[in-house]
Amino acid sequence: MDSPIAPRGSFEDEGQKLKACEENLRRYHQLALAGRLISASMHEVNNRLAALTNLIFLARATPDCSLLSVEYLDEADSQLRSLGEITSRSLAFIRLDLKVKKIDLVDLATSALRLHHEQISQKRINVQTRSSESASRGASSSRPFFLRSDPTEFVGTLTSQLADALCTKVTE
Amino acid sequence: MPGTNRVVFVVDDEDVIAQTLAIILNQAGFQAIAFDHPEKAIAARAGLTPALLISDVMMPGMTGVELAIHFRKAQPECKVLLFSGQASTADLLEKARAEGYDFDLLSKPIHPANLLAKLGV
Repeated sequence: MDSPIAPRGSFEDEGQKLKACEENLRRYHQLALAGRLISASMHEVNNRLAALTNLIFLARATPDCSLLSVEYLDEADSQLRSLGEITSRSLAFIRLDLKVKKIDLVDLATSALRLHHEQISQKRINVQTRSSESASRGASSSRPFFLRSDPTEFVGTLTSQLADALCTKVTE
Repeated sequence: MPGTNRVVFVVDDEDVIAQTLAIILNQAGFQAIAFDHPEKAIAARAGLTPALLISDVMMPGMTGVELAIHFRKAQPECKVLLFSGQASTADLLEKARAEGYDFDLLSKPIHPANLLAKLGV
């Protein structure tokens, strides 16, 4: 005999799903931030390497540079090349999305609110939404909104932090 | 680099890199000028016509790709060499290629000896 059909996801299940989504999003933000930090650090290291490589090249080309100094400078140059390979590999691994994207602000805000619905409800925050016509026309608008970074991450973080801030303000 | 025009513009927001690279190029017989901002290079182009533009890609205000396109539009014969350490640069180059601009990209840090070899010195 077939087992009875399980009832479709209850509200609790939906809440759990949202909570899991929120947690995944938070993890994604953390990883993205770590990636950006590494990228920025490696970029800075790379710049110092480029400057040092040029300075060593210039020092080595100085007419009164002794044979021993040339040897030391060659070794320093070789060490820098090795370091350069490490930074190049790290930077090649990280790929920042620099493409400019058209986005629909209303869709973006709605999805962020939906995602953080649980958090907002728990904190008993009453959210009222209002959008202008130009924003709701979104990407097809004659004046669409352009972003160079990931807008989902930005609005998601903003919504979450706003909910926390509002709750703090209310309880104060 | 063949031809009589030996003027080279070196652009990098890291001033030490731009300055030292310009000194190295000058010692190799070029007339290199260093700029720490793309806008300064654009302003200087009004009085000088460089045979070559060497530029970093990731710079505040304007990318090296945007600068290169600006130079190519004003002076199509100007050669361009871009350098960058970031993989994201590939997206910018791809966009430029779609617009009909193809630029050489060198990986940063570039060893001066390799750069001079590339320039035929």
